[in-house]
Amino acid sequence: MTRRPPSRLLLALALLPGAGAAARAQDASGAALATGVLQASLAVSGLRSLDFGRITPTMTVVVPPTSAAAGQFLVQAAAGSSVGLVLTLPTSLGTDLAVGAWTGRTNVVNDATTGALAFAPASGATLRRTVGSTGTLYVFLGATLTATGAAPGSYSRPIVLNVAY
Amino acid sequence: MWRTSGALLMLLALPARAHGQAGQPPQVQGRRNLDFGVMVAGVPSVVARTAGGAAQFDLRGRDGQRALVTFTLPSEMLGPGGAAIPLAFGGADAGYAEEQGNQALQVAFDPRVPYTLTFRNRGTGNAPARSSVYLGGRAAPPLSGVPGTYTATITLTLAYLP
Repeated sequence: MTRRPPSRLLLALALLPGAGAAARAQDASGAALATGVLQASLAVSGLRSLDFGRITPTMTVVVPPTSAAAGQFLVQAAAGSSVGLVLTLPTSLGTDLAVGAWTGRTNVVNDATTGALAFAPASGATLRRTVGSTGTLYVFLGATLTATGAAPGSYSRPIVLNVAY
Repeated sequence: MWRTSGALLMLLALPARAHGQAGQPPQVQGRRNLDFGVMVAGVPSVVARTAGGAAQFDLRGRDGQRALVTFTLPSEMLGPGGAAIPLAFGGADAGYAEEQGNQALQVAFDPRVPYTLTFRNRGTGNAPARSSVYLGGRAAPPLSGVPGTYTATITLTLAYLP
């Protein structure tokens, strides 16, 4: 009996690619970045109250933003960043004590006059300003108080400044 | 004897042809970064997979082919002097869109576990199927975070399944 067929069978098996190599899955990959820029946190400080001083029951007092009696805020944020300022302003200090005609100035240094930018404060309106190179921005506020028979006493109302990037 | 041996050889040869890998290989391209934009120290930042800041990976594969998507996700972004901002990814922060670039047409999946998809060329003949994967996430800048630019690498691996 001849043995040639088994030899050919072995040769055929040797020519077959390994099952593992033929079935290996192809793959590919790609990359992207996660990115972000972190800015310094914001801080707002009330430095000085808007002070109309002593008045009579019927009187009008005007305090300009450049006055030593003007209200003042300090904003601290990332140097050179743009911030949005939103004021909440009282309309009166009490009965017969109306407050209006608000005036304002901003500056990157503590100076309401030289280099300061004027603005018309309005409750709820967003004012955008650029923070100075030292990370500071000052806000100065003035207004007009009109007393129309107000009762004697001390009166005050809050002025709120919200700041956001 | 000879005829029997010849038939046996033919049967053994068939599996070799059936295991061929001719056709469209899988392809992945990072198209857009996951961009958290401007962050404030102490304030978490979230990017949805449906937002413009979500990462986008464009895929290409053989029509009808099943494939496995696996993410290598960073745990943090690194910035100035090695400062870190932790990252987190949730169970619905990834999405698969069968139509490439159509961010609105995506099915959510968990990027933390491998995801199985089937390529569909959406009726464009014998052309390879093109699709996209989107990824959102969360960054948690610490209150004492150092201002600056932060980055990390996200890798998507695509593998055909047998």
